[in-house]
Amino acid sequence: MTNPDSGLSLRHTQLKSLYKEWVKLCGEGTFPMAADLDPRSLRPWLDHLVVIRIAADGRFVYGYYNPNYAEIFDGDRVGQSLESLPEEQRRLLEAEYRQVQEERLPTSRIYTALFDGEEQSWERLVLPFFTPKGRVEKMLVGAYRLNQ
Amino acid sequence: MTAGPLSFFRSHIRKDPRRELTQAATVLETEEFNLWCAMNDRPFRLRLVEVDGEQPEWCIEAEPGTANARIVYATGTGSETAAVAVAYGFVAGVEWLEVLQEAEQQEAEEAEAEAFRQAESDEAGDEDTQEAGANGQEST
Repeated sequence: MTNPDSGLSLRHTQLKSLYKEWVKLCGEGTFPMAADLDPRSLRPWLDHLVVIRIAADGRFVYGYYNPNYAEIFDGDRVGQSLESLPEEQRRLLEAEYRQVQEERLPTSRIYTALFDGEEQSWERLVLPFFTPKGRVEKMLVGAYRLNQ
Repeated sequence: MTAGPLSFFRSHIRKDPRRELTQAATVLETEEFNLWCAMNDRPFRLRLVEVDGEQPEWCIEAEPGTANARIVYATGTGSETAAVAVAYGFVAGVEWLEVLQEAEQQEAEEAEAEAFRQAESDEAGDEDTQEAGANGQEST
């Protein structure tokens, strides 16, 4: 079973509360399942969410990509797999999602990059969601800019 | 105890928020519908589409972002609240169709298996009769 007290050190308050929401779904020794999720419960974070589904062939595919992100980053990615990303970005994200899939634990990281010529730092949180048999089938990703 | 016919349907109906709409004080938004679809393997999303310069209306797009992406249903409204209600109805219809198709397939498979068992049983009966006949001939 996933241990919700996995020692994540989050900085952004919205990600802290999103993580708490996921921990609540863990209940008493149960897996948070994608089918049990009420989208209304995610309203506070909706503009900052992405859903990654694990396809039958093991690829990571964008199932949901908030339009807010589509504006900030390079357009809508729904239906696309990580293969559509530039190589460096693809490798980084694939390693991150693979880790969550195998370890069945949330993960987070902070990254800094240039967006439209401006250096920005963002914090990402990846939360696993499970099948009834305990396999990770989806990942909910939240990302917030830190230095605003 | 054997499972009744409704148990099959109950076991196939996904838990979803639209059943709680009457109890909910909040109204679902299009993006919440889109997120719900993604979390529940429903290959749809709501998109605001403008056709021939008319008022934009919310449409249901199937397999968004793929080479097979297409508009499969126009909700006929530009109201987000109404469109979400229509979209959940659309998905419920798709689910029921899938459940019915699955039930029909299961019934067909069971009927085929029963027919096979019956044919085997008949064949065994014929062999017994022939054997009995052959024994009878030998005895005469």
